[in-house]
Amino acid sequence: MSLEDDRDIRREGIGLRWPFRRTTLEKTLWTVIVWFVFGLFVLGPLATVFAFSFTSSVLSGTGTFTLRWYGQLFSQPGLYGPLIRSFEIAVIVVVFQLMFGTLIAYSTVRAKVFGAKTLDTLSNITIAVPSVVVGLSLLSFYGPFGPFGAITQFLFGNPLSLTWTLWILVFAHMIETFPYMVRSMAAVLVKLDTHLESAARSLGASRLHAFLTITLPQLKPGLVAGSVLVLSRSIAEFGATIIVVSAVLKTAPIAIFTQAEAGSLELASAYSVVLMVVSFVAYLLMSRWLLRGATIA
Amino acid sequence: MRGRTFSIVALVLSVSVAVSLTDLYKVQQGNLVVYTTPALQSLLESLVVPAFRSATGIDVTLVYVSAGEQYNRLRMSGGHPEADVFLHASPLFLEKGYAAGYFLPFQIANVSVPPDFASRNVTGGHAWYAFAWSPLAEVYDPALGAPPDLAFINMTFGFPHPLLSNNGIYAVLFFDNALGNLSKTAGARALAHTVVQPANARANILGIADHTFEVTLGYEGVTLFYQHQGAGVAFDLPLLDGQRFVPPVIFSAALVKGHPNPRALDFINFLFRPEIQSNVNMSPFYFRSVLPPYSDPIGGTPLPAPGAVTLNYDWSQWATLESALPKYVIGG
Repeated sequence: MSLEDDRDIRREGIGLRWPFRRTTLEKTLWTVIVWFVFGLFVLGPLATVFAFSFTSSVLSGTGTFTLRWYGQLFSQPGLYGPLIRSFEIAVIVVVFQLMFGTLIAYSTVRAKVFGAKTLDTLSNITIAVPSVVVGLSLLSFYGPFGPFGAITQFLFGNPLSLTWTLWILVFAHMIETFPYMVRSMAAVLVKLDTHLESAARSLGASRLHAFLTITLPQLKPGLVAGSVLVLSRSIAEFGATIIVVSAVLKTAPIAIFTQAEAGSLELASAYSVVLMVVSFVAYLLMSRWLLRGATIA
Repeated sequence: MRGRTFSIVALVLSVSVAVSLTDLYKVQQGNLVVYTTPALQSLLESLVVPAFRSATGIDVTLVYVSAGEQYNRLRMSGGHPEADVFLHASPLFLEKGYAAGYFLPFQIANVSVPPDFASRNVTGGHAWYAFAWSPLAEVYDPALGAPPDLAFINMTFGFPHPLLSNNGIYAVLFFDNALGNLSKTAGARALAHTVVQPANARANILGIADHTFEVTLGYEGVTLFYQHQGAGVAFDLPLLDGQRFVPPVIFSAALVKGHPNPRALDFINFLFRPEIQSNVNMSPFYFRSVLPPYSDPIGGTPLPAPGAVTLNYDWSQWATLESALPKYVIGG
């Protein structure tokens, strides 16, 4: 392009002011529409919960600003207990998923076990299956009247049941979060450069040393992304949990539901705000801190 | 990720899991679990449980789900229940559970309650005892001006779900027993005007407050609780064909067979202690004591009400009442 042509184009561009304005107008219009729709369906409801949590009485319609609900929430063990339970269960689930999710992903992507494709497809099934069905199936299988009871009756002469125990709750969260770890790990395993590990071994590195210094850094994005997703999903899990959860191990989402159903909208809102903030901070910390310099797969 | 970082992360995760598992097991083992109704939430959380905790050091976990759901959770436990005590607003599921072998007979210590506030005598004591009560009330939108006669109701009604809530059981009890066929016709009429079937006694009153429906039958205590919070609801004793009724809603306790916590009966006995019974009518509970001295809650209907008929029910006939419940479910 010659200098003369460039000048012509610039001249035309300066002369054609209307299309420039139209572009700005369109952009502004789109911005308003998109933010309005996003506000209506996402931000609006969340902001309402936020507002309700600082309202003395929603029902009266004349509520004033108060911190009373947060005071109650953090002073009564029966109220803050479910928040702690949620995080404790999520941590256990993350650690288990780091082992089992990685194992399944490795088996399907690298080891190519028999039926690897079927296993890979089935590992996604809980995304499609309603979580309440997952809860019911666990209750049926591990309950006193299901196969688990029958097997333990046969083996030990006494039917065992996992109904209302911690383990059935952990299993429910594991099934619900399984695809998130498997998919995250599978994504990095596909791209894993095995030649680097072979080269390290041929240069005298031990298997463990090669794994820790060569393979693990390559797996880091998958491990972190999977852990963050599993943690967030486990903290928020409701559908399967409400079917299998024991009364004393009530998690935060169940507590919110209970408070809302009992008519304590303000307390349920305060709970929700705390859960949102804590989950969001955990998500940010984990992703920012552990992913320094790495990319989520 | 270097080997040292990996070791630190692995250590942190291992310690976190160990701490979490220890705490979760501790929580699971140490608590006394009470299956109850949202109607009793403020009474239990603000009065009974703190007092019991300070007296015994035992933590109590309260489970608020619908009466039918609680009964089904008990059935699904297969001899390993998580609940120690049931506190229900009606004895129907307690009688049914006792007949099915899910509850133990027991005898409360040191007090004697009037016959209407305990089950029939069974071997070993009683199947249940009532520890508080509240009349079933006709709750309505204050814009109506006065409580409508339920025999001629012509506005939206909220018939509480009879299979999910004790509130619904009392509504059926009222319509099926108050005035024979006349009240049954009124019940059918109320159901025909029902737009939503609330699943518990609190949701029922909230239905009036948020204008989902105009009239319902709810508990006086729960209505007063919401009235004092500023909810726009009014109430009176149920009016049927010109006659006022007092259907007592009796909040009852039963002892779960195989209860994991050995202090379960202590908790039930605690409900009859003077510091509990003398306070059940106070704000924000608004219930009525089963032991003297009886007094009305603040803002409650003064009882006995002249001309009003008390509608006591023989709960040993629970099967008859239960068989009537499905016909009061919309689409049932």
